[in-house]
Amino acid sequence: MTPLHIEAIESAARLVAFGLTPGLKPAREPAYAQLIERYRTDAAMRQCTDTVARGLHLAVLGFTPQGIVLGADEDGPFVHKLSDYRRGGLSVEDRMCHGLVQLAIAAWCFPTAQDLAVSDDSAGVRFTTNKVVGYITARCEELQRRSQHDPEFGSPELREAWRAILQRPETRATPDGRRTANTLFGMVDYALEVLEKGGLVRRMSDDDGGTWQALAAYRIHVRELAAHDAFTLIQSARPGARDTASQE
Amino acid sequence: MAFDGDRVVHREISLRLLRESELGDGTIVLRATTEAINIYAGMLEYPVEDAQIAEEAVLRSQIHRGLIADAVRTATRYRMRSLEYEQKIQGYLETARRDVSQVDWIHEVLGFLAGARTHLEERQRHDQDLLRSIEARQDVASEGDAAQLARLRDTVEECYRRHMQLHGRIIPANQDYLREQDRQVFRPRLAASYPDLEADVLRAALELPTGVLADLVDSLLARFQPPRPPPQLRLGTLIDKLLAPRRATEDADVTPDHTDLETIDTDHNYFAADDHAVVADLLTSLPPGEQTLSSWLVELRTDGVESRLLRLLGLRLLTVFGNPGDPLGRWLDVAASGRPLIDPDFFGDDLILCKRQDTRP
Repeated sequence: MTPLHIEAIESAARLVAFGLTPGLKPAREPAYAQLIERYRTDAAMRQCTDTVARGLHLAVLGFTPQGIVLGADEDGPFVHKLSDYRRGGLSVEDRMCHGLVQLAIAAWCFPTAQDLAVSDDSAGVRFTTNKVVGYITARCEELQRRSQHDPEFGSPELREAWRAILQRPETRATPDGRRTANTLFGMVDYALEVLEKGGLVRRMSDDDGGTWQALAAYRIHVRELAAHDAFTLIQSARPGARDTASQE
Repeated sequence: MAFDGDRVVHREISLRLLRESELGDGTIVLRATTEAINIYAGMLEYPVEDAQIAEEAVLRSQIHRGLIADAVRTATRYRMRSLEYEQKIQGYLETARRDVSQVDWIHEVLGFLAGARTHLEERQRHDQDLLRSIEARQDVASEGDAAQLARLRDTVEECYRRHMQLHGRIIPANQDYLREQDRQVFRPRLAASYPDLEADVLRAALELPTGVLADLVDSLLARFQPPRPPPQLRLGTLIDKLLAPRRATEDADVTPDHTDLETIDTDHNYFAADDHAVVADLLTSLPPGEQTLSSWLVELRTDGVESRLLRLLGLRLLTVFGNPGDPLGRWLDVAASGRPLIDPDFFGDDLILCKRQDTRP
């Protein structure tokens, strides 16, 4: 291997390390900015970075002016475990609600395929914690109304996810900032904090239970996730369930 | 509003007027969309190129007929058009540069570029014509018109420069694209097309039985978080850190609480009950009204008050400052002045002391 390649490998590894450092932005670290530019323009560097990342069980999902966006493979050392999501253990139903909340935040930020396909340099929407809480309850209440008017739709025995959500106490932000972990508000707030820690959303202010802005990196993550098994499974689970219902 | 047979139907059309873009340093800027400019200029149904030609024709006729005030207004719209066209071209080139897979270069973009080149060449020629006729008017204009003609000239000249610059960007675009394509061909791409998250995924998820969903959720939750670097143990570093001497702190000169190490009559001695009494007296003797801690310290020092007592006084005032419930706070207000304390013995922020007149300790 020529010395040139060895230099490229080191630079590539350094770029991955920059990407793994929480909160680091190219604007604050000139070496990072330089490497991002090299990644953007130099084919060998890009290939090298992608290879180094792959070797570390990571994938380069994209890059924005805010930095390189990495995703962890499920069998690698960088992946989040469920126990990392919330300490203290979650019941099955809590876990499911947390998952739905994350899904709902993504759907609120990028409701359509078109919103997901927006170019990587544009920032995402702004939203508030209370709006997302309202959004989730509204979606669930729609389904509740449908089940009341259409006896063939859904069944309490199956206990669909929306029933579980509607049973949670929904609390809005209280003036003294109190929140309970198990309320819908507490869950949304917690989910957004997790996203903020990961550099995917930015907290703008404390108004209306917390005002947030989705960042380009968040869109890149959701986009990648959209092709992920869990999404496809959810999508396919519904029509499948319907087909069997209609056959009966 | 539209007609459906003989009925009037109202249709809601939503348009995005502003788009937020993120710059490298994290600042967010607003950009007007093409739709916004079109609504502003009242020409929603025309492509920008046609609108540009139309505005220019109106402008030419107005200058020809000597309607200078109208021409100035038209020129403003003409300028908006040139801005809009610039946005369009830049947006197009940017998309092509960012992701070559999103555009059909041979069939679509090369045609677009050829069209743009002709359009811009034409625009530049017409802009020059306009400028010449404005200049001809300027030579014979009255004083009132002269000012407006000058404005008109500036506006058209600005458009001319913009068109010239855009033309300069269009010409090397093909080479740029080819270079960018070389760079991007190996970039991994997602094969799947994106779903509508709200309609296809969230709604479907809400309708799933909880048991089924719980199985799927684990991997979802893990994927909603970016990679997290696990801390790596390196024995050498760890032992170095554990064995490193404690860093010297600013309070290092305070005598530790070891009675057998204490010597009597040093400045570092604990404050005696007498000291507290003296400090209490000093505080009571403080004249009513506002004064700063720094000036009071200077006064006390000239009066010969020991530095040990000054230190206790400072600590006492800090207690009142940090603890509004302190009994002393009933008749003495202590507030930060925002300026640094200038004093040979003490360091920190200056305090404003205000003794209330009506209450006694």
